[in-house]
Amino acid sequence: MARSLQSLLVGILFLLALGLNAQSQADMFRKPGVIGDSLSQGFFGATVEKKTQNWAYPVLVSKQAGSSVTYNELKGPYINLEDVLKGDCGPICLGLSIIGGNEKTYSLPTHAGITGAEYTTVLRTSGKCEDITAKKWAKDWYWKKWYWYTYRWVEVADCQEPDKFHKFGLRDAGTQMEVMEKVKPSFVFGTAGANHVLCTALSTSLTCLDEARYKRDIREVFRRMGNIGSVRGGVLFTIPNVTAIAFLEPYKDPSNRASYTGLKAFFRNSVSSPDQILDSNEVKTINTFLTMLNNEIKAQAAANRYAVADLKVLFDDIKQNGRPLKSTSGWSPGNAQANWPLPGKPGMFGLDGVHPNMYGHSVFANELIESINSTYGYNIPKVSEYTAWYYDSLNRSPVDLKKFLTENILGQFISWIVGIFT
Amino acid sequence: MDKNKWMLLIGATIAILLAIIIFKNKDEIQESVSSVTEDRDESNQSSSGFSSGFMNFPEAPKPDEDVLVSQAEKLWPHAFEPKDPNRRERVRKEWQDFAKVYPKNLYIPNEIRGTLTPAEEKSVIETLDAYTSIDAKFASINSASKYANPGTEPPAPNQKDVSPKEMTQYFDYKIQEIESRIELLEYTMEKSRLSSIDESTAKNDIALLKKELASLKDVKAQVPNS
Repeated sequence: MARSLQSLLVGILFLLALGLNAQSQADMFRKPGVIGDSLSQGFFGATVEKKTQNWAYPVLVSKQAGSSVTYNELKGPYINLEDVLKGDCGPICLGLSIIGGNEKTYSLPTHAGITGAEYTTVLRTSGKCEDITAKKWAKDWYWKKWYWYTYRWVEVADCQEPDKFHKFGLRDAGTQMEVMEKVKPSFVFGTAGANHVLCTALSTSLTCLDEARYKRDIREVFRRMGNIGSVRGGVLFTIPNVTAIAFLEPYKDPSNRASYTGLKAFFRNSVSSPDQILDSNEVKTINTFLTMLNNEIKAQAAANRYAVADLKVLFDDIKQNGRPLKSTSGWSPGNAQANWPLPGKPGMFGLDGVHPNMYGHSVFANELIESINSTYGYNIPKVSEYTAWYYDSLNRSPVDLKKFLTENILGQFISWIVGIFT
Repeated sequence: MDKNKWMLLIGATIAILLAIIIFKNKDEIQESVSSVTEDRDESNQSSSGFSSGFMNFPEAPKPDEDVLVSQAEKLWPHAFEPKDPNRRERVRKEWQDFAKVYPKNLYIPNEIRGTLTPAEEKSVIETLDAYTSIDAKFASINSASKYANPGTEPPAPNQKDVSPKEMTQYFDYKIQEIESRIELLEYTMEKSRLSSIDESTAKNDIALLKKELASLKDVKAQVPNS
C-alpha cells in the first residue's frame, strides 16, 4: 500500500514537473528580446535584407521555442555579392540595395541587434544619433536684464547621424539598450562582443583593441539588463577565434622576414608592408584579448544565470574536423568547412569569410538551443541543418570568390566589410 | 432531425472541409518545393554565363518528410517563393543597357564588359592590393579614433613611408568608384519609382558622395607626379 502510494506520488510529481517545465519554457519565451551585432541581424556579404534577417540565429531559436521576435526589415544598404556575381542583381537592383531602406517597420521592435554594433554602441548609438552621450558647446541667447540681451555657453547634445544599419534598424526606438528597457523581454539574446575583437582581423591591426572600454560597457549593459524586472533568463555565446576566419590565410614571406610572415587577407596577392600582416606576436595578443573577452562573457552569463554556448570551442573543432552534415536517410555531402562553400565542399560562411550563411546560422542556432536546453531543462527542438544546407543557395550553387578577383566591384566590397566592422 | 443529429452533421461537414483544406495546402507546399528545385535546375542551365551553372551535389535527397517540409516553410519561407526563370537574362539586358549609357562604370561585371587582357587583369589585381591596403589603414585609424578624447589627433604619417604610386592607385580607384556609385544611384532614380523616403536617402547619398569626390580630386592633384 505504502509502495503504491509512493509510486503514485512520484508519478504526480513527475507529471507536475513536466507541466511546470513546459509552462516555464512558454513563460521564458513569452517575449524574447535581442541585442547584438551583424550575427544577430543576419548580415550577409555585404548587406542585410529580409531574407537574411529571417535566417539569423535569434529568429530561428525563437521560432523553434514556439515564439517570435519582431524587427525592422531592411532592404540594404550595400550589396548582396552572391546575387551580383551570379547575375541575379542588375544595376537597378544594385542601386536600390546601395541606397537601402526599410521593407517593414515596427515602432518598438523586440529584436534590436544591429550590424557593426558592440557593447559600446548598444549603450550609445540610436537610430537617430551616432552617440547619444556626445556633447558640444552652443550659445544660449537670453535676456540677462530688460536692457541686456546676451548669451552664455551651454553644453548640448551633439547628435550626428548614425550609419544606415542603425538608422534603418532602430529608427525612432532608441539605443539597443533603451529598446530592451522599453520592450521588457522575458528572455534575452545578449551577445554583442564580436566587434570588440573582429576589427583586428579585418584591418590586420591591433589599434582597435580596448579592454577597459569593453569591460566597462559589457558590465553596464548587464547591470541595466539586470534592472529590467521582466527578464527571466537569456543566452550568450563566446566569440570564435577571429584569426581563424576564412577572411585570413597564412602567408610566408619569401625572404623569411618575421614581420612579413603570418596571416594576410585572402584577396591580397602580395605583401608590401608589415601593416598587411598579422604576425605571430600580434596573433598572440589577439588571442590573449579574446580569452579575456570570452571570460567576461562567461562571467556575465554565470552572474545573470544565462545559458552560454561555447562557440569558440565549437568553431575551433569545426576548423579542425568540419561539421558533420547528413540527411535523415544517411546521405552526406561530407563535413562542412569553416569557409564559404566550394564545389564539392559544403561551407558555413558567406562570401566575406566572416559571417555565416543560411546553413551556418542553423548550426549556430542549434548550439544555442543545446545550451538553453541544458541550462533550463527545456526540450526546444533543433533545426534540421541538412534542410538548411539543402535550401542554401550559396551552398548549392557556390561562388569561388578567388576567381572573381578581377571584378572591379571587389575592392569596394572589401572596403564596406572592413569599414563596417573596424 | 433532433438537435444532436444536426450537431453531428455540422461537425462532420467541418471535419471534411478541414481535411480538404489541409490536403490541398499540403499539395501546394509539395508543388512549391518541386518548383524551387525545377527552377534551380532551369537557372543552372541558363546560358546567361554570370554563374558557372554549377549545382553542388545534384544527387542530394530532398528533405521531403512532412516535419522537415513544415520546418523549412516556417524557418526559410524565401526558399519557397516562386523565381522568375528569365531573371538572369533580364539582368544581363539591364547591364547591357546600363553599359551603353555609362561604359566606364566600375560596377559593370566583366561578363558584360568583355574579356580582360592579361595586362588589364594585372592592373586590376594591383589596384585591389593597393586600394584595400590603404583603405584598411584608414579604417584602423578611424576605429582607434572613434572614442578619442576631444583635442587628440592621430599620429601624422611620415611622407617618406608613403608611396605616391600606391596613393595614386588608391585615389584613382576611389574616385572612379564614387563616380560610378553616383551614376548607379542616378540611373536607379531615373529608372525606378522610389518612395519619397528612398528618394530622399538617395539624394542625400549623392550629395555626400559629390562632396567627397570633390575633396578627393583636390587631394589627388597634390600627389607628387600624379
